[in-house]
Amino acid sequence: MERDNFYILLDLSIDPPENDSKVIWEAIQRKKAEWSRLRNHPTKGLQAQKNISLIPEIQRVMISREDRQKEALAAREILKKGKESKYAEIDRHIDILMGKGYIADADVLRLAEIHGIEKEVIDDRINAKKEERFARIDLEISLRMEKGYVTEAEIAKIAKRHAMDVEEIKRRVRCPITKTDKEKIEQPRLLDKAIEKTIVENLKVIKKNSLYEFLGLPETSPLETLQEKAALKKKELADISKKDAEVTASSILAGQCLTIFRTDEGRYAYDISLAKARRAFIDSDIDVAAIDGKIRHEYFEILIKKAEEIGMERKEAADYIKTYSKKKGYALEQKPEKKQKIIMIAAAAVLGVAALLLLSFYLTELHRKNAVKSEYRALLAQVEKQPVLEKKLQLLKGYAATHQKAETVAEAKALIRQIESQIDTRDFNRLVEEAEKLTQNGAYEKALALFQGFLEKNPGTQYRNPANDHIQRLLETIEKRDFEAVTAVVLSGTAGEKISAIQGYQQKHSNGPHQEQIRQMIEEMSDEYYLFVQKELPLHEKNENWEECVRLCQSYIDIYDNSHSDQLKELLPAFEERIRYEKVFESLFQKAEKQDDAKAAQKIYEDYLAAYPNAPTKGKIEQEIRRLESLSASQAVEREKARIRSQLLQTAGRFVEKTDGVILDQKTGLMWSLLDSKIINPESCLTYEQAGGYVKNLSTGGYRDWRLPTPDELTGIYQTPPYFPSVPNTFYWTAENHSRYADGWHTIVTVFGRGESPQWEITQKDAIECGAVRAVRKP
Amino acid sequence: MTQQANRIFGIDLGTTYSSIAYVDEFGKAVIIPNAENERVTPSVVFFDEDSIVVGDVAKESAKLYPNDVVSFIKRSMGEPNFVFVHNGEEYHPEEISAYILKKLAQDAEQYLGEKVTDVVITCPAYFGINEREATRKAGEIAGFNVRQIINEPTAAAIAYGSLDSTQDSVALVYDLGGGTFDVTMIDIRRDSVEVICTGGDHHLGGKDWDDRIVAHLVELFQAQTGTTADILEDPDTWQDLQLSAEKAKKILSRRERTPISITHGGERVKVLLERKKFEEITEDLLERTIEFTKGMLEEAKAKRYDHFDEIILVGGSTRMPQVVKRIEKEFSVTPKIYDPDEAVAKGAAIYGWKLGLNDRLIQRLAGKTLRPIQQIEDIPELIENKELSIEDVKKAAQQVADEAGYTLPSVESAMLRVKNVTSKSFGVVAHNPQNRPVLINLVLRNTGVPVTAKKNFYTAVENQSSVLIRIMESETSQVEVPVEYGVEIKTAVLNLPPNLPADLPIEITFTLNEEGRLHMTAMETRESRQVEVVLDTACVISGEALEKAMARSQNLVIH
Repeated sequence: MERDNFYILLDLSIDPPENDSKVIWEAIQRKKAEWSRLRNHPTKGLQAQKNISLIPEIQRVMISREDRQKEALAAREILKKGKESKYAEIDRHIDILMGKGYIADADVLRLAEIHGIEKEVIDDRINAKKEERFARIDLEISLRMEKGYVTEAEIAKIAKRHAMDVEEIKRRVRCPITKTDKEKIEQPRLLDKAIEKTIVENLKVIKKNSLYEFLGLPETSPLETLQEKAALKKKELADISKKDAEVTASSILAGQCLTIFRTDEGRYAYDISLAKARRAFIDSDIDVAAIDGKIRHEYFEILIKKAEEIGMERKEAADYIKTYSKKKGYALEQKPEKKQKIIMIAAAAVLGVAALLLLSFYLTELHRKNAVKSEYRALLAQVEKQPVLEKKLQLLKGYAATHQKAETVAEAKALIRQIESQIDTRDFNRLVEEAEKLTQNGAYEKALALFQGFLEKNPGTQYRNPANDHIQRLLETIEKRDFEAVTAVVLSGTAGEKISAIQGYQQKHSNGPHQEQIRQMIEEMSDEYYLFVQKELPLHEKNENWEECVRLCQSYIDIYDNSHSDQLKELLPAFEERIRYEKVFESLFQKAEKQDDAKAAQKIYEDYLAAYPNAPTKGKIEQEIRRLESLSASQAVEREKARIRSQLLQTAGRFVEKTDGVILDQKTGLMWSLLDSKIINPESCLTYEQAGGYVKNLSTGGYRDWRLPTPDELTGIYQTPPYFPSVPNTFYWTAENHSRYADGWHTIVTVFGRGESPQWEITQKDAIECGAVRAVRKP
Repeated sequence: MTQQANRIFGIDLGTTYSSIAYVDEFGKAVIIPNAENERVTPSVVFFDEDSIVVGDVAKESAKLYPNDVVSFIKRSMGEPNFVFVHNGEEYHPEEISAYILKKLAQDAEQYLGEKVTDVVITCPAYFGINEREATRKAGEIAGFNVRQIINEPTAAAIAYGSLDSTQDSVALVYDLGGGTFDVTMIDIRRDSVEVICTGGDHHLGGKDWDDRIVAHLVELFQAQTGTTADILEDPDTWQDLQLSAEKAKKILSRRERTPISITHGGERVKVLLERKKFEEITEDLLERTIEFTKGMLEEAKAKRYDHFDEIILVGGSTRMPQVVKRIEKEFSVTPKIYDPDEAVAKGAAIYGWKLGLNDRLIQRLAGKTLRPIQQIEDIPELIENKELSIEDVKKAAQQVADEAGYTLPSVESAMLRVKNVTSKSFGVVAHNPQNRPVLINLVLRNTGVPVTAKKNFYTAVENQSSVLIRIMESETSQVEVPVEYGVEIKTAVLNLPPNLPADLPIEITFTLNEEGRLHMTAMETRESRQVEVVLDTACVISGEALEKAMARSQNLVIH
């Protein structure tokens, strides 16, 4: 955990930094007495204890000139940070662009241009934003829980805003959901103010924002998880011997967690308290904005943004700020409004057009009436001649459709009905014939479909009842056949087959006459099927076929409600979680594949692992990371080789690459490895002992007699021009070493390198430190 | 050991209250009232101009002179950077505690008309080496011969056991004091009191319950007056509320509600605090004690103690009715509230008295064995080894009884064996095969003391010149833990002879005595060179500060 800055803690001048050791010493003494006095203060005691325990460190840092300067610089940085948050503006812009649901590459490039920073930085911020989404949703829900319930309308809004499913949002809600605001909800028990304060004060000591954050769990975690984690935390804390203020504060918080997260009621009370605390945050912002009793409209906008940050939506935020300001007597400055004239003119124009249309329609009607009668007579003659019923119908219908207002149309319609009835009879008879054929061949479903299709096509048919009778008979036949099939499977099949047969039957015949027998079968199979599931699960788990695992569990849970299903219910979330993780992995993979650079691809995985260090896909991800690492490592090595080779040309012929990877120093005749251990593996940390092993196993250029150089040999290539191509910030082990007094168990080695200073120099290091090797050999 | 004619007093040096006791001529432990005729004295020190006041007057003065009064000093014992500054002088926790001890002794001397020289002082079982050493130093600054520092629950168990010495039982001592919480499993037998396991938190006690009331009162005040200012910034209000809270807590142990008045900045608010509310806002604190108890029971199971016969409640804070209720609910046993304020001082007095009798017995018996007096510690053991006959012991006991005026059985019971456990684990820092530093514990907590543990460590390289030994105290029950789990209490350097090979064994031996004091020896196995370290820790007052404190205390009269 980051500690407090000592300049700030001691109230010392920062700009210019206080350097008078007498003043500093007095400040320490003064603070020491002050903190000791506050040591048993009911609310400030822990902070005081924490400060007291810092005294030795304060003295150490403030006495050393170098450390003190660093401390003063850090203090200045902290103050500066307080004034301007570096990324606030960029983040706001990203928010605006992401409003449309996605953010295009062009947007990112433009943002990078506007803010004069690299595209990658913007990308990082965007990724962080995306990960914040769930946290944000929880925050929005949490804020609305303040009143003790959440309404469906609120949930719908949140879902819409985040383009998510309403049900998914509902799953994250931990309080009653009501249809409207007016429903009566029993007022929940609230957390006592003193407890609230205790929690807030102690969270402050350990620099956390909520008990959830303290436990390191999301706000949606189940109660048991919270309870378990709290107990675990309590145990861990008991193990830590150093009972400093942070440990004490954490113990108190763990105690609170154990109490609060014991019941839903307690947790609910805490959630409300948390929501209130977040709201209080906005209150204080409004107070600040209204410092002269008036809130300017620009400030109003900023306040709305702030309120949105804690989970309010825009309108809600505006209303809240208005109500709060009214209560406090702050004036709100209005934004100038736009004129409404244009809309008025447009409305008048629409009305005029409608009147003209009506008039022309009336005139056309009058003109048409006379021609109708003669036309009808001609039609009847035509219908008479036509042998095919459908054609007759078509003629009549065509007429009826085009002559709706004619007197003759009623007659035409009567004719239509008559013909339709004839068609109906003819069709039904044909249908029955066809169905009988199918039935004889055992194609009951097809026969059934015929009748069903008939009814669907002719909903008003006179043969409705006969058709239904046929359907009923067919259904019975099918049911009987299916039941027999199920019985056959139950006698011989595996548990999986049995259940799917039974389920198939159930789905098809939910009201079938054999329901009772089927129920019995299911009942009898509860153990057998459970065993089957139990046996199958590990196989699928092994193949990481989580969908199948879920399906198996779910199939059991859907059928049974017993202790087995309870057990499977417990397994289910883990499988679902795995599916989710697999999907995430898949999308990570897709994204990583699109990267040009192995490093960038690796970063995608690493960022994910940093955010979800316990993801079950960790193994796979790490494997990917290793693959990418070795890929980027070899890329880096090649680049480095090229760089060194180009620098060799500038050594006036002193250093030449004799064979691949081996450089000959013409001046001394020594041969040096082109690459040092750090270039080959930048992450490598070679202790002295490992350095020995490294040269022993090195076979660059086919030579096997590499060794550690002496200090003189290294000086010879790095301090006598023309220099050997150099590498940044490292030190090389030399062959020279010796034991040192009072060091414990370790050897001290002479090393050659450069740390902070740009000069190469000879220093001493402990043999267990991390160093590099520039191997040498004498031909 | 030498003849010790002086009476040995028992002192309970508590976070909020302290008391002193002795054993009268009938062998009964009695609390000695202070000059104000109270049986317990508030552990509060008031620096009044040039004089020092301890007790009730000091406590009452806190309201008027909040900056000149020190309370709860026990919580800062072993904290090297705590100082109280008065008139430009610095006072460490040990010295302030010494004033409390002095006040107790002074009043006792006045009451009994005899000088208090030898004392047994109690401390929470949970105290580590630093805090124990600080307690001993406090006694020495006060000018006492501190015969022993014993654990509070052990003292309570001795007092409890002395009532009914025919019955063996395993008791759970739940000690919730003013500032610390201890829970200890004790096997009480006729001739021995053995601590099995102990655990607790020395930052959890009645004061935390008071603090919750204070916080609640602040809220109520703010709600009624509409102010948002933190009224605890004002030291007068803070002290006033602290006292009101303690009173309210005590009343709520007997009644359902109590009125409290809060005064700040000329405004006065009257509120009513209900017991139900009080229990609600302190529920988590009680829960923590239960968690500690459960944890301790788990550890006891590992030592094959999987049951206990009774729960004894000690410490003033166990008077709160919710404590009894919660314990009953959790463990289905009705706890016994046994003399919560006085048991510890009385137990310490009984222990001191037995030490004195034992000294005399040994003096008498020395002639019968071939051993020098210094080597006779455990008489029953000598009888077992046939170095002494029962008759010899009986005869000596009778002589001592006649001489001191006690009954024979009470003298015989002086051979009580007290077996303790260490509340902390002790070990050294070594490097594991991955070459990372780890803490290797040689003695695990809840091991019976005295104990000696040996382990070999090895040199890392050839011709290593020295070995650095970092001695660590921790609260885990595991052998190998990360270094951060421990607190470094001392370092030592063992210089090695030249030309040693790598992997040479270095034998490290830890010895803990009955009081939990640690002694370490490290020896290289080639030439048997060794270093010895007695742990006097850096966290305790020493050097100039100690001399100053001693000088100041010498002729000081406490008021």
